[in-house]
Amino acid sequence: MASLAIQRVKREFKEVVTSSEAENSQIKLEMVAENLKHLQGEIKGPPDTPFEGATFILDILIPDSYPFNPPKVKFATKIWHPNISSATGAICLDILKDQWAAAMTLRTVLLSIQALLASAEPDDPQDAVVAKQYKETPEIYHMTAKFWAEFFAGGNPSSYSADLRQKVKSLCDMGIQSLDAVRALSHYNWDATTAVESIFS
Amino acid sequence: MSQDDGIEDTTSNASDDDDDDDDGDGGDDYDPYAPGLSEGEMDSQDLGDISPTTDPESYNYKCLSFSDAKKSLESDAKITSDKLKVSLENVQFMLHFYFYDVDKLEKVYLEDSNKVLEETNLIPKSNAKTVVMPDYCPICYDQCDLVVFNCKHSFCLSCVSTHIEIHISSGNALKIECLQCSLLLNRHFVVSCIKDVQLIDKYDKFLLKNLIETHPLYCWCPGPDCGCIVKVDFSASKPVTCQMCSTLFCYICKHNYHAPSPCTQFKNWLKKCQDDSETMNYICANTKDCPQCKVSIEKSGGCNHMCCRNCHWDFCWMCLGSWKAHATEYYECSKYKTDPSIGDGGNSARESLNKYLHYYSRWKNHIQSLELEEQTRSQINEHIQGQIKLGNGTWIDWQYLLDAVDLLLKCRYTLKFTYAYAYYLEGPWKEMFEYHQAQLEREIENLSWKIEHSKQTDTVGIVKQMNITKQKRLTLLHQFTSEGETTQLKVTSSES
Ligand SMILES: [Zn+2]
Ligand SMILES: [Zn+2]
Ligand SMILES: [Zn+2]
Ligand SMILES: [Zn+2]
Repeated sequence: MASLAIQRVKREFKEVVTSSEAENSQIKLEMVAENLKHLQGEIKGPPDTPFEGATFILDILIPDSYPFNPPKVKFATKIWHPNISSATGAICLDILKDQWAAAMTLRTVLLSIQALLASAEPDDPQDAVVAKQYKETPEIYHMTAKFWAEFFAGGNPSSYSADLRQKVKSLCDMGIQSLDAVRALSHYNWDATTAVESIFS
Repeated sequence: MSQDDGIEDTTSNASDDDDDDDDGDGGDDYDPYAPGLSEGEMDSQDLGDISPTTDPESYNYKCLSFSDAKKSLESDAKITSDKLKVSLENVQFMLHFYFYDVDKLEKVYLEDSNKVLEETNLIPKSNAKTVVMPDYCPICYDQCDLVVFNCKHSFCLSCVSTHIEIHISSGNALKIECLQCSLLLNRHFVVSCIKDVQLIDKYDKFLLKNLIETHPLYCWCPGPDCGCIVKVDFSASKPVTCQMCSTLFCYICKHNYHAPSPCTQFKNWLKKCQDDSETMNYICANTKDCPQCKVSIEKSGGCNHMCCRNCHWDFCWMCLGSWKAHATEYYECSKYKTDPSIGDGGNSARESLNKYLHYYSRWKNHIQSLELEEQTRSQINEHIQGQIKLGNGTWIDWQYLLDAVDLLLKCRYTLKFTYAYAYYLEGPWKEMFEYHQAQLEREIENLSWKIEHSKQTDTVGIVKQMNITKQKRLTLLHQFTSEGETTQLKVTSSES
C-alpha cells in the first residue's frame, strides 16, 4: 500500500473518531485488518426517514491509489433504497465514482452516504425494483424501507410491522428462508400469493 | 462433383481447404468493396426496373493517420476558435461538451461566454466559495511549495503529478480536474506537470482518442491493431473500407457492412444466430444427396445451380427443387413460405423455428458460397495464367472474367445480408422486398453459372449478365436502404 494512502487513512481515521458526528454517534469508523486497507463504517439512519433509528454497517476498501481514486464502499447491512442494491449493497453515488476528488475524506464519504439515505435519486437507480416502487407506490416503498430497517438494522418498529412480520412468517412456514421471503414480498408489494409463486416458479 | 463442365477439377481442393470461419458474419477474408470496382459508369440497359440515379452506397470518407487526424480536428475547430476568440484547445473541449453542435455552441457563447466557460468547467464557478490558502497540501499534508490553480485551490506538485498520472494511465486525458473541484486542467498545465516524455506522448494519444470516440464524424478503424482513423462527411450506416488494413465495416455500428439490414436489426440477427448456432449446424453440411438418383453430391463452387454428375438432373442446392423452375422469371426459392399444413393455433413455436431456419440456412449458405467463390477466383486466376502462357490473349483480354468474379462476390455479399433483413420484415413491404431479392438471387446464380462455365469465348454473354446483376443489386439497395424509407412509408400507408 502506497505510503500516502496509509498516511491519509490514518489521518482520516482520526478525523472521524474526533468529529462532532462521531460524538453524537451519527458515524463510526473501525479497522477490519491491521493494514488499513479494509475498514468498517457505520452510519445512523437520518431522522424523518424510514431509516430513523437504524444502524447501517458499511464495508470500505481502500485502493492503493487512494486518495487519487475513491474508496470502494458498499452496504453490509440489508437496505431497501432506490440507489442501493437490495441484493449486493452496491451504492450508486457520484462521489464514489467520477465525482470523487482527492481532497475528499472518509468522513465526507460517510456523511454523503448518510445524506443519500435522506434524499433518494430514483432517476439514477441502483435497484430498479425499489426505484419503481418508490415512484409508483411511495407509501408501499416507505412501509417496505421502514420494515427492512427494523428487520435488518435495528430500526424502530412501526404500527404495521406486526402485520408484515406475520406475512414473512407465513412464507417461512412453507420452508422459505426469511431473507428470501422478505425480498420476494417486498418485490411484489407484499402480495403473498405472487411472492410465493415467484419463489416456486 | 457438381458441375459437369467446370474450369478445372475442383473436387480435390474443395475438402482440403475447408475454411472453418464460423463466426456467423464471415467475410474477414475477402473484400468485395475493394477500390477499382466502380459501378458509377454502369450501362443503363432497359431492364424494366427503376433505374437508380444515385448509388445508395456511395460514401465519402478519408483514412487518416494519428497526426493527420489531429490536424484535421484542429482545422475543424479553427473556424470556431477564430470566431469566438477562444484558444483552439478550449474550443475543442467546448465542442466535445456540445456534442459537436457548432451552431449551438457559437450562438450560446456569443450570448453569454461566461456561462459556457463555466458549464464546461474551463473557468471556476462564479458561485464557488472563496478559498483560504492553506499552508500545507490538503492531499498529503506536507508543508511545501504549492501549485495554485485558477480556482485558487492549491496542492503540492507531487500530488498533482500523481493525480494526473493516475488519470492518464486509466485512459482519461480529456477530463482531468482539480483535486478539489471540477475545474478542468488544460493541456498546457498538464504537460508542465509531467516530466516523463513517454507519459506526455500517452496523454496526447488519449486526448485524441477521447475526442474521436465522441465525435460523430470520426471513428477508429475496427480492424485488429489497425489504428487508422476514418473521417466521414456525414454519419450514416454506409460502407467504409479501411485503406490501411482493408477491413470493410459499417460506419455506424463498426460491424461488417450489412446493407440492406439496418444496424440494430443486424445486431439482433447476429445475436440470434449465435444463440441458435448449435441447432443449425446440420444445415451447413457441404454435401447433399441428389434428389433424383440419391448419389451424394459435394458442393464445390458458390453456385446454387447443381448438376448431378450421375443422372444429370439440374436442381437447386437450397430447396432441392428442379432448377428449371428457378430459371424463369418466378424464381421463388428465396421466399419463405408458411407451411400450409401447420394450423394457426398451437404450433407457433414450431412455426417460428421454421421461419428462422429458412432465413438462417440461406444466410449460412451464402457465407459458404462466398468462401467457395474465393476458391473459384483463385482457380480462374490460374486458368487465365495458363491461357496466357499458351499465348491465348493477355491479362487485359481476361480482365473481364476477374471483374465478373469480383462483382459476383460483391453481390453475394449483399445477398447474404438480405436474409438477415427479410427475417424481420412483415406485410406488403416484405412481399415487395422478396420479389427484388428473388430477382437478385436469380441473376447472381446466372452469373455464377456463366463464370464457372466460361472458357474464353463468352465475353459478351458475361458482360451482359454482369450489367444485369449489377443493376438488380443497386435497385434492391436503392429501394430498401435509408433512401428507400420514404417509399416504404408510401407502401405501408397506401395498404392500410
Ligand atoms: Zn501533496
Ligand atoms: Zn479547484
Ligand atoms: Zn484499418
Ligand atoms: Zn451498422
